[in-house]
Amino acid sequence: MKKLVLLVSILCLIILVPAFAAGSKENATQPSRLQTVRVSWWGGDARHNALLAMIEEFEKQNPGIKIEPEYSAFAQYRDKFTIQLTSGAAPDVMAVDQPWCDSIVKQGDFFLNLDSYADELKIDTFDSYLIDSYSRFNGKTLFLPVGINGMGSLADAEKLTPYGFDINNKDFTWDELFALAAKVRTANPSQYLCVVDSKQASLYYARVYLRQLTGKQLINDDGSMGVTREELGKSFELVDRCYKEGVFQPIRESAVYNDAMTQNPEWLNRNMFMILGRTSVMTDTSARRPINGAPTTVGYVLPQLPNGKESGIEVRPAALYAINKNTKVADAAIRFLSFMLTSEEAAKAIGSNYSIPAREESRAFAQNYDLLEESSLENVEYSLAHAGNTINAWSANPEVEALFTEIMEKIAYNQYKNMLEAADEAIARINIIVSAGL
Amino acid sequence: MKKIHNLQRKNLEQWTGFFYILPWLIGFSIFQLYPFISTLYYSFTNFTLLNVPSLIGFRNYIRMFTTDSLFQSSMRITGLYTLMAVPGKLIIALGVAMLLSAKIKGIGLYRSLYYLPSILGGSVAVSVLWRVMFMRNGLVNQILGVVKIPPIDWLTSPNIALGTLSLLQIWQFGSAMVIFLAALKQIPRELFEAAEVDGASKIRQFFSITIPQISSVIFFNLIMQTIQALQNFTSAFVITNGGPMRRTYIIGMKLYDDAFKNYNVGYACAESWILFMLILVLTALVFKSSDAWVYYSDEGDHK
Repeated sequence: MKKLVLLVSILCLIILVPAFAAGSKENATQPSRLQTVRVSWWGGDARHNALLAMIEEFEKQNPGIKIEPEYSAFAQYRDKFTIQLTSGAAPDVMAVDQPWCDSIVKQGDFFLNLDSYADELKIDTFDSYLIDSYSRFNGKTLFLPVGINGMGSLADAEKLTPYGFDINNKDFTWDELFALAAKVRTANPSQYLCVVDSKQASLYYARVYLRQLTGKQLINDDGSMGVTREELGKSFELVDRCYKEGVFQPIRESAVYNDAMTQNPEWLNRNMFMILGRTSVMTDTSARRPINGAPTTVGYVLPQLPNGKESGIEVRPAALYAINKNTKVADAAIRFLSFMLTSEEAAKAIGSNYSIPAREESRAFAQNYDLLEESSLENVEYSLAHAGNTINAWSANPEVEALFTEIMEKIAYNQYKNMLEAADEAIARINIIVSAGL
Repeated sequence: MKKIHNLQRKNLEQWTGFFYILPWLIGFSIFQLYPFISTLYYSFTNFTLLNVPSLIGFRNYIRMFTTDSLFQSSMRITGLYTLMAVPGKLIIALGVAMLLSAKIKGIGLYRSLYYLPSILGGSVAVSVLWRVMFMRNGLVNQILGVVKIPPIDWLTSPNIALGTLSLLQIWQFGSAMVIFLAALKQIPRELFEAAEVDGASKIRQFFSITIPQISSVIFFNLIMQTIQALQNFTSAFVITNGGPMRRTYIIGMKLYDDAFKNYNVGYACAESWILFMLILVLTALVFKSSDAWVYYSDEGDHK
């Protein structure tokens, strides 16, 4: 008898195996004249505070509209976002990350066509490159960018100058990066030039170099490989060299700071000097590493390959905003979005919390209040002038990105005889990912 | 008349009982049974959370066992993790339970203290703490440094990281310990007294009296801890995020990534069903073997 009771209770407990299901919830509407607009976004404390201040200003100007903010950190936001969208519980106005757009739009009709409100939203005043590349799907404008991200680097110019670093040299090459790293290492073997984690090594080293080398997509739109194994091998060699020549800190020491590399004590203690990344890293106060209130770093260019096929610079929105297609308060939501993206008050409140504003007028507003850091603004302008190809959905696929991150780790841990072996593994596994997804 | 009245009363009593468990039934049906059945259905579809799922037969299951090398390596790692964490935890839990069954002053306090990690263990905060403690320049290496042991890469060495995660699981031995403690208290004292009279050593007493007497509890703990270890997610997610080189990429993490990062929810459901079947088979095997080594004191009369 004891055994039977035990068996039954254990079976009940096993049912606790992770289960996935979607609930459903009706969109809340207010019967009163006061309209409530739910707005969601992700970010850190600085962004939350800026947007909350902006919302306060909006409510002051629009007494008939109440904004209900819903905000969280990026990882939690992403998990919640899809479930809200699919269960009909999505907010009226929501932030969307660019890499999600393509796959969401393919799977359903979730967002309001903003073209019907083009005048109020001043769509034609947004940077046209961003609108054409990232906002329009099937001829409809579904998303509007709040900021622009280019690509470049963040450099501790003061510390690097003794090693021959020249902030005014805008033709910085990979060879110069290695030469600089060698000088940094010779001066003090406990120093490293660049802070990196495996994901960043993939995105801003291997993948950038590969685009510069080939000018092609990693994976074509039809799912076939866009680059050869030799080309892929060369891009991995760059990362391999970075580890072997001490451009990067050994992975055993740095891996604990994955996804939080600016928390690395060696970086905080100014024993590491550079971060390659998007413009947002240059406007991110914590990454700029203020010591006694003054930032110790400044925006700089992305290393280039002489005679490269393209710059490797990806220009993309810092975040996009969309309106729920099923919103019951479309007019109020549009009014809010218009305020957020085009008004002077909002530009003042948001400042550089979304990298550099995506509209020239908003940039000017923010500049008037001295809210945009010079070098990041320069970086966006430089990136827009030198932008490479936009990256297609397959090449930006999260599974492919995770695969590249893993390969970077294996390179760092010396798991390959040579980089062609790494390239072969990448190609074989990309083919599997593609065949499962087609 | 009286008979009918009795029958009505009995009926009413049954309904009352049902009414009492109704809140649980509702909760169970909505939050466990419904999702549970849904996952079985979704596991045969291409559900992505956003699309209208369409049936694709056994394709998810076929992919798992043919092309998805990550699934196979995750299963291996999960198995290895369970093999390290469960025996370790049971041994420590039993050891500490033996110590705490002693009659000394303030034993209640000690018992509570040793149970603390189990209350905290599953939380994200403790995982974060663990991560900081086991960093290269963390507390653990600093303590080792005092006795001149060079720093160990607890979290970033591909061969050690999984062991570090197992340590966290082992550290949460409290619940198993409490159950062992209760079982130890139930062993009749006269058995030990008789053994002592016969001249049996403490070790002999442990293996010949203690272990057989608490075998049913060892059995229970073994099953519960195995299930818990196979379902682990938080520590791998927070402490190592599956790295280095996916050496701590346990199946719980893969499920999460497939569902919420890659949006292959149908596939993730199929994986969770394979995990469920695996747990079921393992449990059945342990049950089957239990006839040979588990002793139930209440079964003596029937045999």
